Amino acid sequence: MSQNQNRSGDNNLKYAVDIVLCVDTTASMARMLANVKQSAMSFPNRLAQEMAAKGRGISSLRLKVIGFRDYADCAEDAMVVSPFLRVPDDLDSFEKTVNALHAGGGGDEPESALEALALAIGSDWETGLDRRRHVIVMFTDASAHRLGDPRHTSAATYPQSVPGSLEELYAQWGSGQSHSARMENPAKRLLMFAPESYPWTDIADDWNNTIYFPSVAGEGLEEWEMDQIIATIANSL
Amino acid sequence: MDVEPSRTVQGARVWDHTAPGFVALSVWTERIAGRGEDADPLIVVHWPTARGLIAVFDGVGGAGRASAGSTPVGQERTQAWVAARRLRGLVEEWFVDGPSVDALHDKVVTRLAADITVRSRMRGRIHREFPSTLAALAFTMRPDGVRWDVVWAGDSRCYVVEPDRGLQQLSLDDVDGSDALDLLLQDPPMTNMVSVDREFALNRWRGQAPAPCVLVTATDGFFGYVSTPAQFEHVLLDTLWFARDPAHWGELLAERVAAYTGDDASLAVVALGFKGFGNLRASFGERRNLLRHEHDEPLRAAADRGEDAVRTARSDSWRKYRGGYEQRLAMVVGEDDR
Repeated sequence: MSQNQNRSGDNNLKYAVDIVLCVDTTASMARMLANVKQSAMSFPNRLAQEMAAKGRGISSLRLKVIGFRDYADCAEDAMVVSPFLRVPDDLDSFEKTVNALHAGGGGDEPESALEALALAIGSDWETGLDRRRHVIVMFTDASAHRLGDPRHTSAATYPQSVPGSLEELYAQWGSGQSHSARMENPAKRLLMFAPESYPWTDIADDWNNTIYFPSVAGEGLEEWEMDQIIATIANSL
Repeated sequence: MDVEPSRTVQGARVWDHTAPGFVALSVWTERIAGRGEDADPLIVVHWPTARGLIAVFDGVGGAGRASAGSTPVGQERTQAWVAARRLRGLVEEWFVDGPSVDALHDKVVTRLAADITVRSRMRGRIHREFPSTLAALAFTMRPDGVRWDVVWAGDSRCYVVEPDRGLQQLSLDDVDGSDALDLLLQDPPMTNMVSVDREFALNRWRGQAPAPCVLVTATDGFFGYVSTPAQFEHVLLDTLWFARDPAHWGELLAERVAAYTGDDASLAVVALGFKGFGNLRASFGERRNLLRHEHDEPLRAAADRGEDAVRTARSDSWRKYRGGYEQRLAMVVGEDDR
């Protein structure tokens, strides 16, 4: 047999990618949200192009959106959570989900971003395919409320699955050999576009598999272009 | 020092050198033309002392994508690209200057990003400034065999290949987990690599083997995109089997890796104690046949029967292969005095 024919064991492993977009939908995020909406339809294709340019194929791509505001301000509309939407089959649903997000409310800082992060961590991540990537992307221009505050947890709409402290949430994220983790250590990534305030700097320093793009507090996220964000997500995979 | 390649094939570069009892070969390929973040592989030998070194360097784009600046003709270079190449220079200098791994560590800390002021605002546990892997194998040739010091940081690897024992891993990837098949399937992020913005470790380990044997260092573009750990050895020995000479072996390796890898790939090889290239090739003929029959052909057959069959074949291959492949890793803490 010629050596050119003997390639069957070569792998071409592809990536099964789940991405949860956690989007702050309070009033101050209006411009960023418009940017996200504008890019939503092209996001899967652009991500696939970035991956292809790196020589990496995607065998499965699922997207999920969590829009969050503030349980302290208005518990009724503090959280909107979509299921995982498979691309390209559910692209229309993804577009509708993103377009339904609107900026408003939230009161003053901080916001309920840690609750959104907790719900993202608890997602029904893909478990069956090779080379899984479970990516959470956080977009916010604010600090976050501390978990466990009874003024928030007493709300009827407050998710019961959210842990009572940042330490418990960290345990769910997990460290290298952690047994309490809900995330698969080799697969997980957390990308944060957030100001240098609680808890984002702590998470960037202490949690593994994180990438943090600090924004200047009070100046929003406009400095991060969507092309750069998509390239960063692809590069983190 | 840069050395002109002996062959350039479709963007891949191949270097080779032959001396009595000595065959050296290195291969460099890039996934995207002009953007390859692996540095050229390094092979240096000091004949009067019978000392040598082979090494590879993989600039870690996922951790250091920020720009380090532009070339005089305006081509932007990432920190990862710069780090791999500067690290190569520092390792070559270390080989010439002195043997202490601590001295190499100090060189890297003080000089890897010297005179470059660009810094990214990006942070987080994955991010690094000027990140690169290193896998280096410094060896001393003796009449009865070879002794080596393995130095590494990250997930590039050092190996020894013996005609009767096959491929054996000599370095432990800096990742969470150590099962080579799991690592192949999961491709986890590194927990340690060379960089300038945080502490890093240069892992080290000493060992030896009787002659003849082959020493190998490779970046994950070569071994991280095959179906099983055995498949990487099969790629090495199958291309050797069909090669006319060392340069042709390099050409075949470059061609083969381009067909399966999803990354830049580089590799450096020295074969010690063989009576010429023909003897090297013949010495691994039996081993190549074993790999073909016990690992490659079952995987090929499984590929026609779907994903479940491939998973089963991968597991079967790993179960048969693992003991030999990991036989030296059990001694990685301390010295392998075999």
